[in-house]
Amino acid sequence: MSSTVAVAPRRAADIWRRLHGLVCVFKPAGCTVNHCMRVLRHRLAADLNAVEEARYAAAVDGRTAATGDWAVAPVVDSASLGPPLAGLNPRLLTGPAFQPVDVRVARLASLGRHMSGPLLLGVNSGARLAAALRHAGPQVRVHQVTARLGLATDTLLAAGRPTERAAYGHVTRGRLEAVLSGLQAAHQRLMFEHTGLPVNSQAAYELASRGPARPERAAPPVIYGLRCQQFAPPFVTIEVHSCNESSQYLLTLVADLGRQLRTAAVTVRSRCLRHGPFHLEHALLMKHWQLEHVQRNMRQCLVTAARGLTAPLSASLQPVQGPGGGPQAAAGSRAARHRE
Amino acid sequence: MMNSARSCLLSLVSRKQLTRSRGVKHWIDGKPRRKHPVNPEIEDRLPVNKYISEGTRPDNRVYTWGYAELGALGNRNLLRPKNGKKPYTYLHRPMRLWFAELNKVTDVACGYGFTVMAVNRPDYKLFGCGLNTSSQIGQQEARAGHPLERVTSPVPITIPVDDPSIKVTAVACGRSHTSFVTSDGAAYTLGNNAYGQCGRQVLEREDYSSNATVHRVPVDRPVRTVTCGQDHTMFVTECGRVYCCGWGADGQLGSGAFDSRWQALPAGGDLEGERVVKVACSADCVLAVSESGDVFGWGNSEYAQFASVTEEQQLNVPRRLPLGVGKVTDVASAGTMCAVLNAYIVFADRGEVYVWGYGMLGKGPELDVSKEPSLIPPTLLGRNDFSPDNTPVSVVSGLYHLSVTTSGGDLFTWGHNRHGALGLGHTEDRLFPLRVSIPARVTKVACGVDHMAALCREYI
Repeated sequence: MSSTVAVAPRRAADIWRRLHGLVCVFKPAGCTVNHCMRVLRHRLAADLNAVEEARYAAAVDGRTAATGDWAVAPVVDSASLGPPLAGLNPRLLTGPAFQPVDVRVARLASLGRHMSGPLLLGVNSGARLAAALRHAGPQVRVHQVTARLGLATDTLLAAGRPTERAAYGHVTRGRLEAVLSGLQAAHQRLMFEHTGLPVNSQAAYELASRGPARPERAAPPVIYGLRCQQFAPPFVTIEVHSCNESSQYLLTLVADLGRQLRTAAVTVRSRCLRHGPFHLEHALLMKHWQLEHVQRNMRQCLVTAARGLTAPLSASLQPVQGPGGGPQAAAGSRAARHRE
Repeated sequence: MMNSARSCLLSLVSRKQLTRSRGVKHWIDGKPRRKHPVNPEIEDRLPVNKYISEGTRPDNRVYTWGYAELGALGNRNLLRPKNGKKPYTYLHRPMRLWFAELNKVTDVACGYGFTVMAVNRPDYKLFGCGLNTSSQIGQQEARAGHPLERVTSPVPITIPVDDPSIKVTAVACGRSHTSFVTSDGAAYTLGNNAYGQCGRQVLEREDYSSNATVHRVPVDRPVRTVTCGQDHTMFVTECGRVYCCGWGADGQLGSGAFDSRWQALPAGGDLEGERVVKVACSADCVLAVSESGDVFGWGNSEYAQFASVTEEQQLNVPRRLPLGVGKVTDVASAGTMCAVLNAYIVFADRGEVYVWGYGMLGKGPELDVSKEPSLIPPTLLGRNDFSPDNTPVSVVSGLYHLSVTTSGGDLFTWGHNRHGALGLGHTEDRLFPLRVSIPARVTKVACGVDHMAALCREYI
């Protein structure tokens, strides 16, 4: 509520006029996307109201400091003609100026309740932008999924009610990687069939020659890559690069993986590491969902979005430098060396 | 309040909930949010199911697909389906063959409407199914005097090999004849012999429809492998010489003449002193690769297959082809297209596939004729950021299409899609390689005119 004397206090209306764009927030595991959108709406509205309060308080401070009499009610200066009630605190009359329902928030893509990761939300006019980007083409997402072998539950999550136990001693890293590579290769044909180009055209051939291609629009999920990051039975961690997937699809994927390995598997944890060009570093933590941080994040998102979201269909996919380091970094450099 | 009353009623009636996922309604069992936490003792009370043991090894499988009406796919249920369903004309996606689950299939070959499999069994070594109008899968009679023209399930082919320890090591099929090689270096043929392709004298008015003749071809060296063209046969011996017999009007016998002959004699020309490892031919254009990685060609060149050495439309003497692609490890020759697989030494055995000829070469609609070998982009054959080590290991051709298998166990096909022979799930032609969905690692592929068979190995 402090304001320096030299700088004129900000007007919430000015900030509100410029509060449009994409914001990348970090959705923690355990809460729904709708909940996050509600929290963001409430925080932005509260912060905007606080700005107005600060401005009013600064004006009140100024006037009472001039007269030195705190008991005197603020008087409207006759020179500054305006509405009769202009000098009075609007909050006491009409309520806070900014309501959560005024802040329009829309999502670009969804994340499951149990998943965490960068969530792209469009604020005010950014909501329209989010809708347009969603229709323009899906983005490749990278998920780090930790699975537990030897158990099957009713909800496909480790917290669900167990329905089956199976032996998993026969599962070796080699067998797991063989099944993963088969699953990954099976999706490659889907890529070209969903690009929206006639498959027998020269354009489709050139697109396919450049490498993995993104589907044109909402289409069946496509898996670009599956990698085993950690193997410590009964827990295995897999990195999934995919497009158009849903949370239920990833849960089913893990369950199917268990079946193919002649055992059972459930998802323990599912983290999204990247959504298109947006990484975890771009995502705003819940404690930072405040006006200043959101405004800065919007400016950053503009730059990242311009670079990444408008990329052509066959953008080359870079492996994620996950916290594990090592294998994927090596694979990335090896691929880069031979891509030339 | 209305909503909570309604949901209370629903929860009383059934545990299923209606959800909407990606715009599609579906029911999920149970509630997504629990009222009470799950009892941890439930897990301990469940028995532990054991599906396989640590010592279990992956099994072999055979997948077939393509034109089904002649019985070449080996699945009787496709042609005589139960429950009054319509019989299949073709199968445009791979289907597992039950026969391979019960028998150990070691080799498979596809001819024109029939399939032959080499099986590791003490009683019968060779099985066949499909068209049998020329006894290409042996004499098959349900009752005496009534030969079966079409066999819908794999049946044993009687061969004159008594020793149970001798196995069939290689099989090849032509238009209407079959040839196989046993582990003791002997080569046999059966089927149509109208042009001497069986390596025996052509008999006037011989009836091939119910012919039990399985002829051992007199080759003076032990035979290692055999390849059949449309109407001719080529035997490759242990020392690397190629013996040819059969139809020769395109010079495919490599004898220097355009005559057909029934005697199996070695092909000359540039093959003198070379050790041939593999010969490939689907129709009349023959490609051979030597141990040192050189490619030799003879036979039909109407589609510029041998444009690098001759302007003629036929080449009746084997000539070394200066392809300029390095050391070659595999060759394939379709009706109008040729393909080679090389082994680059620079990148430690990274294979690349080159195609030339006429037709759907595999480089999009713009390249339909090429006199020089043209590289197929490795990204089309399964090498990308996620599988940087996926390398082609073999090239096989049918009459109208080509296929490539990779080190990762993938199978890519392209070309004319007769009756779904590409196995991609439809009957449209494909002008660049696409992966066939087989849930196993493909180790060997055989291509016929309109059907294919793949020998595979399970992942786990």
